Amino acid sequence: MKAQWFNNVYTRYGIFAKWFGLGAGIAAFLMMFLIFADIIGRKFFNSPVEGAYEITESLLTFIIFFGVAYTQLERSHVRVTLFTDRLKPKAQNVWLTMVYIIGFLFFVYAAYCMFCFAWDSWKVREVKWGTVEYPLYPVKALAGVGMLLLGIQFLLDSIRELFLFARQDKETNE
Amino acid sequence: MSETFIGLSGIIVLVVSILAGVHIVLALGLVGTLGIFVLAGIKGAFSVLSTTYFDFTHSYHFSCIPMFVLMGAFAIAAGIGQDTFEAATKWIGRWRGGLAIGTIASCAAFGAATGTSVGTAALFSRLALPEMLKQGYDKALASACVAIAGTLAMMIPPSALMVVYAILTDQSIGALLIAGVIPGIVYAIILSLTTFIWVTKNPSIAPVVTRRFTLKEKIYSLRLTGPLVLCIISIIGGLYAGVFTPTEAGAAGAMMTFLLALIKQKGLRGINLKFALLETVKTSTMVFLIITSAIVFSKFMSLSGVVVLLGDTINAWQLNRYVVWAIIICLYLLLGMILDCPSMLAVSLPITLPIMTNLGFNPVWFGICVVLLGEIALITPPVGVNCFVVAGAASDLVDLNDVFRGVLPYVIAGIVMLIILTIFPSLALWLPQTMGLD
Repeated sequence: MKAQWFNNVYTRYGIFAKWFGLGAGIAAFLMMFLIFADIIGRKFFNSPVEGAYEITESLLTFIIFFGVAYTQLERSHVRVTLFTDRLKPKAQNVWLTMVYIIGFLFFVYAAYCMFCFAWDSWKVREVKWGTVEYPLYPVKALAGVGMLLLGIQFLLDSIRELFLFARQDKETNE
Repeated sequence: MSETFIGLSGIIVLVVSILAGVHIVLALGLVGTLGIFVLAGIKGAFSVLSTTYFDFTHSYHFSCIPMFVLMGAFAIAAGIGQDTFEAATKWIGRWRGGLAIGTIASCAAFGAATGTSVGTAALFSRLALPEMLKQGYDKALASACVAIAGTLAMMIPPSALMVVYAILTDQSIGALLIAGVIPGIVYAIILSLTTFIWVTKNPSIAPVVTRRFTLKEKIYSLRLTGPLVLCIISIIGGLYAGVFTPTEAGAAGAMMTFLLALIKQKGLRGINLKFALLETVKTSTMVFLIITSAIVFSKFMSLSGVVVLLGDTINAWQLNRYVVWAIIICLYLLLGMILDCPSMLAVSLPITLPIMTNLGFNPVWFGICVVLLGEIALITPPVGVNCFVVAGAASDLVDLNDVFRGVLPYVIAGIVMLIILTIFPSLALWLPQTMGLD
C-alpha cells in the first residue's frame, strides 16, 4: 500500500520534472532563434536584437537549472558503477540509499545558499546591466528552485531504493 | 593538520568516492565544499556554493555548449550521417578496407557537424556496421573502426569537450576550437592509415567490394554532402575569420541543421523535436553540473596549496618535463579506463594543468592532447563508452568482445598521434597563432 502510494508520488514528480526539462529545452530552442536573429540583424541590417546578449545569459541559467532534476530522473548524471555492480542487489540498494541521502542534503544546502544569494540580490534590487536592464534576483531564485528540485529528486530516489530493498528482502524471506 | 595534507586527503576521498559509485557531480561538489569548510570555515563554503553554480551558468560565452549539443541533435534528425556515408562508400568503397576508411571519413565530417562522439558512434553502428559485415568485413575491425571514428567528433570543431576544457582552464574557447582543426584532420588520416595497414596485412578481414558505381553516380552522391560541407565551412571559417563568436557559431550551426532537418524530413513531425530538445537538456545539464562542481573542487585545491606542493616536488626532483608529461599521459590513460571524458577533465585538470604550465607547456596544446587522451579513453576497456554504444546499437550483429578485440591498433594509433603532437606542437598552435589568439 505504502509502496503504491510512493510509486504514485514518484511518477507524478517525474512528470513534473519532465515538464521542467521540456521548459529548459524550449529555452534552448529560443536561445538558438535569438542568437541567430541577432547575427542576421547585426551582420546584414546593422541592427542587432536589443538585449540578446543579456537574455542569452539568463536563458542558459534556465536551461541548466530547469533540467537538473529531469537529468537525474533519467539517470544521466554520470557515476562509475564498475565496482558497485559487483555488490549483491540488497547491498547496492543500501549503498545507493546512503549516496542519495548525502546528495539530497548537499543539493538542498546548495539550494539554500543560492536562495540566500537571490535574497541578497533582491535586497539591493540588483539589475542586469546592458542594452536592456532587468532584475537579476528572479533568475537567481529560479536557479535555487532548480537545485531544490534536484535535491528532492535525490530524496525520492533514496526512498525508492529503500522500497526496492524491502521488496528484495521480502522475496528472499519467502 | 597542514593545509596541503587536507588537500591531499581531499584528492584521496574524491577518488574513493568516485570509485564507490557516488555521482561525479556530487563527489566533486561535496569534497570541494567540505574541503573549503575545513580550510576557510562555514562562511567560505557558503560563499563558494552561493556564487559558483550561478556564475558559471549565467554566461553568454558558455552558452555555446547547449547550442553545439542542439546542433548535433538536429544533424542526427536531418539524416546527414546517411548522406555522408553513402557518398564515402561510392567514392572509396572499392578500395581494400574502403568501407572502413569511408566510415572514418564520414564520421570525421559528420562529427564536425555534430560534435557528439556517442551520437556519431550510435548512428554509424546502425548505418556502416551492417554494410561492412554484409560485405564480409571482420567483426572486430568493423565495430572497432566505428567506435574510434565516432571519437573524432570531440577533436574537430565544434566540440563541446573543447569548450569544457576552455571553461575549466579559463582559456579562449575560440582558440581551443580552431586548434582542433589540424590535429583532427591528421588524426583522421592516421586512423585511415592504421586501417589500411591492418587490412593489407590481413586481406581476409576486409574483402574488396565488387559493386561498381559510375562516375555520374559518384558525382551525384556529392550533392548529399553539400549541405554538410556548407555547415562545416560556415562554422570553422566563421570562427577563424572572426565573423562568429563560438556561441554564435553554435547557434548558426544549430539553425542550419534545423532547417536541413525540416527540409529533409518534410516538416516538424519527422524531426521529433521534443526528443531533440530533451536530449539537449540532459547532455548540457550533465556537462554543466560537472563543470561547476569541478570549479568548486578546484577552488578547494587552490586554497589547500596542494598543486603548488606537487609543482615544487616535481621541481625538486628535477625531472625532465617530458618524463612528467609521460607520467601524466599514463595517469589520463588510467583515468580514462573508469571515467567519461567531461568527468575525467573535471577531476584531473585542477591538478595537472598548473603542473604542465609550470613546466612551460602551452595550455591550448595541452587541451588538444587531453581531448585526444579522452578520445583514446572512449575506446579503452573496461569503460570504453563508445565500445558500449556500438555493441548496444548493433547488439544483433556484434558483442562487446568483438569491439574490444579490435581497438588495440586504434589505441596505438592514438598514442602515435600523441607523440606527433608532442614533437610538433605547432600542429595545434599554428592556426590559433595566425588568429592572434595564442
